[in-house]
Amino acid sequence: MKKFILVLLMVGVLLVSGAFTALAAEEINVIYMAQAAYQPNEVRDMADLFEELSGIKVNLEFVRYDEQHEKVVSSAVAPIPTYDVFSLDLIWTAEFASKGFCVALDDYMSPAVKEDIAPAIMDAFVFDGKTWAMPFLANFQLFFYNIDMIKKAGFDAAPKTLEEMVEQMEAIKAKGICKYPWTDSWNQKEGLTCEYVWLTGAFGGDTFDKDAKPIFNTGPGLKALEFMVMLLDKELASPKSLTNDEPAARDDFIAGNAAFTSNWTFQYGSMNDPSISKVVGAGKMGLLPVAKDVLGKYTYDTASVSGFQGAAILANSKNKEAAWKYVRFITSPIVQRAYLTEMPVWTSVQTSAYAKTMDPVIDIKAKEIASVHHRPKVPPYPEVSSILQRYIHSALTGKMEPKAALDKAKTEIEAVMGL
Amino acid sequence: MGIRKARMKKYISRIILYVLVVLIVVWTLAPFTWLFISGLFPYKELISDRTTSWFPENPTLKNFQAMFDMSSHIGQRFMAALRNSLIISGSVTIICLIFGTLAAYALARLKFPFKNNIVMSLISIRMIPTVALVIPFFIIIRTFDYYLIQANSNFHFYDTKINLIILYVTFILGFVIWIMRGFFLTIPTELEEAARIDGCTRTQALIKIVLPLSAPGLVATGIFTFLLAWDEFVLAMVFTKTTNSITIPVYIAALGSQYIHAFDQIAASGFVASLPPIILALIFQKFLIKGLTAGSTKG
Amino acid sequence: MSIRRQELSSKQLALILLLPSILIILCVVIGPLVFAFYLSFFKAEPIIGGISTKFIGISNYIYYFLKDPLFWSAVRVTTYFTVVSLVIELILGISMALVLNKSFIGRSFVRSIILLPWALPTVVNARMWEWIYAGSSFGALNGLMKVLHIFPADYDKVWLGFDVPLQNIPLIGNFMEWVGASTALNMIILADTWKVTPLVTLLVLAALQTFPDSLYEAAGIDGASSWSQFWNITLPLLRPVLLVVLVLRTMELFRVFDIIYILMQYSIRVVGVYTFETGMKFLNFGRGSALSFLVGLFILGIALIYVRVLYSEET
Repeated sequence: MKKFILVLLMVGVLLVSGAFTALAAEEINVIYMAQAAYQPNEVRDMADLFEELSGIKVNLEFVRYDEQHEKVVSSAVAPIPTYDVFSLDLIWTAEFASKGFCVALDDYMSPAVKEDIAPAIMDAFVFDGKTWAMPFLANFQLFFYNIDMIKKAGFDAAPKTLEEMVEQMEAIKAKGICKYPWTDSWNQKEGLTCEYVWLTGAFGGDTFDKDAKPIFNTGPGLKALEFMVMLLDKELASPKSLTNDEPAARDDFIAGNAAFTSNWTFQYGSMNDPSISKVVGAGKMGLLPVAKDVLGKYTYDTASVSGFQGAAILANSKNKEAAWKYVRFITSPIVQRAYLTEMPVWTSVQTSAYAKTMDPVIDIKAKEIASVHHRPKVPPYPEVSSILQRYIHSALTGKMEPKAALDKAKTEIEAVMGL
Repeated sequence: MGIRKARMKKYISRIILYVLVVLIVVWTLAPFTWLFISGLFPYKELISDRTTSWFPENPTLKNFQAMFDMSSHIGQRFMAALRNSLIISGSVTIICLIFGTLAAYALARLKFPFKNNIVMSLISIRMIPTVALVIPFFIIIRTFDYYLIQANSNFHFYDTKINLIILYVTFILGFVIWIMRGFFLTIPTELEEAARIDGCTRTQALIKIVLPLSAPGLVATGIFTFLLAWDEFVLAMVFTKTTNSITIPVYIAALGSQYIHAFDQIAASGFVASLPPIILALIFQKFLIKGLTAGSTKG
Repeated sequence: MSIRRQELSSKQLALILLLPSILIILCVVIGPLVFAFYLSFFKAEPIIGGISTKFIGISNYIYYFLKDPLFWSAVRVTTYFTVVSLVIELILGISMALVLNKSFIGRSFVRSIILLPWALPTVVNARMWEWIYAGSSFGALNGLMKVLHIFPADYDKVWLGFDVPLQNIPLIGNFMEWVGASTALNMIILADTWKVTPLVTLLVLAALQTFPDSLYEAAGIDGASSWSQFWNITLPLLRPVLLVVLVLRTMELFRVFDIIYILMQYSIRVVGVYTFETGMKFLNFGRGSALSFLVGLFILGIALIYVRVLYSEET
């Protein structure tokens, strides 16, 4: 099957490639973050095909997510363009755009392209009215639950609201079905900001307002943090959450140590892999619950957080044309069709009959992705997020009261942003 | 009775001694041995429960082979990193030995003003943390490259081996001078004086008499330099970007990712990357210990 | 050898021999440090095509000393790391040296293999311990604890976690929290100690071997216990080498970066990590430079003490 898809892909791309003029000795360097989504060998496969079709040589470099930002920045500031194309995490859009590190892609994109990508995805890469990256990977958080545990506790379906979920968790705990029904990745890293953003969404709001001013210390933002603290205080959330990163939280869940968790799309694959998972069959994926008061506010009654990646072109690249061709190729619908383990960014692919037969849960994914909340789009994002992580974490560990922590975080963030 | 008691006591102290020795050996070797064994695990077994599986059931050399397989992505990167590390550490060693020996000789033998101040500042400079110099380096190298590009030069510093060689040399040079000076001080001046009476110039005396006598010192210093250059991480992380210049530490630090713990690769490549320094250290350990003591305790 | 060239004077020769080294060091170390000092009076950040700078006087320094809570917490946690590591390294190093100074079968073998951790590259060391400390059932240390029945079979400790050690003891717990100690930091100290202790051991061992046996024989006749022999004879004699180790290690420990960055990224902010984060992640070149300069100055201060110690030993 996989071979067949590849052949189809090749034929399709051969046709497309009529547009490419084979330029000998053209070369582009690409830096990509190694993570759960496309694996290095898959990215290499795409690049190999591209090389063959276009005659443009592609050098790939993979780095850990944590290093990608520094690598790209130092390359962008240097007068020597080391990279032409890089994978841009949506949280860097404002920073890179405001400093002019990457090129606006609006002139390259045809209107048809823009129409076929959902606004929820495209907006993540828009800053100052321009688009700075071509959406490549649509990552977002989903709800994972262990249906066996829920049924054992005497309920028959997954919770729709946070209140229902707490009720189910208390029952699960009381009956001794598992010690800590909730697990999550609340360690003091970017993952914590993500969890906080979707929970704020689940309480009906955003962390920052439309003018990029912090508003998280009152209303939904405060409720979200109080909710997290409450889960820990009632011992519904595993204390290991405080040190878990995303794979560790997944490991907790697939080892059958928790009934509920929220995590990125990658957990679906591991959950159903019998070689590592103990919850095959019991582990289910669904829409993240929202607070009871928020029901009816969102189209699908769910809230999530976005973790999109785009392919962007560095401003000091000497090969912008070739770079764009590569970007266009790896983000094309035809490539995304071949790798349906990842959520495609193209509406036409998401809704195609083919995708529906290949991916039984694409419906859930499509609803969740339409309900994402973005992390704040502000130029000094790394510093802002670092402050948020620090204060949220000190509230979770009981060193500060939620309200005091968020107030303090707000003051520091405003100082950094010069508000 | 007394003799028996004394003998008893001696036995017990022997046993305690051997227990302690075994503890030291286990403490020293266990972590590294575990690293090697981990490299032999297939991934699925690697992430199974440790209480039952300390040794792989189906040991595989896959992880090791992958690093040397030039047709794979891993192989290309690892081999490039290995090559770069060898070139960089080798060049740094040679350059440091040449300049360092000359300077050390002057500081050990000749009389001139400010000598003590120079000695002091050399060793102090070696202690400045590289992390504190990353920002200025970054800006300065950026500026150089900017003008090089304006001048249409093909050469630039960023992402090149030469850049790292220059930076490493400066950090290690002070240290080399310091140790070599210690060695020169241990060589009696009479030999040189005798040679000079026989009509040798100072330079000839240095080459014919002093250098051969300080060969052990040169070897030890050379190995130190090599190890320091092989080990460096901060500067390499900031200034290398592609297979042009990435070094072994950068390669190993970058393995794995946000969602994947590539511990099989880490174990295998970590083991291979430690072989050159470990072999060097074990072969030349006599020299090294001498150098360690000379370099840090004697002036 | 008919005509012998006139020999250069001592000063000239010294100048020629030293010049290359001094030039290299001046240009590449002192220059940047001065530049960092200059830059620390600016608000500087990279933009495309260059660096934007704005003179702001000593605001950066004021920021660190008065406004920034992270700076002082970085100083505290670095001090904790340095002091605890030093104590463990010295105790472990001296004990190992005393054992290896005794005669036993296979002594030269043991003496040579203890070099192994020291020769291991720092990055490999960091990632090796990261793997040993893995906080799941596949982590080697968790496995070991279970095999030894220290942990129950279903418990997996997160070794690189942030729980504060001794948290439940009043005063000490508060102190630990204030310093920024955590299980993760303690485990990193252990990993770093594993790598560096051989150096201490070898230095102490080399010193021990120079002591004449007659010293101990006299004490043995007097009937002094081994403990008092160690306390009254060995330790005073080891003073010079211990002083050297102390100063040398203080410098190296205070500037720690690699192992903490690789294992914890920015979540344990020692001074080195904080400098790097400010400069290379947040791209505050001006503030980062101020921090760099402070760190450089501090280490330079200890380095000068070190050199003075060495000089006084020499003469």
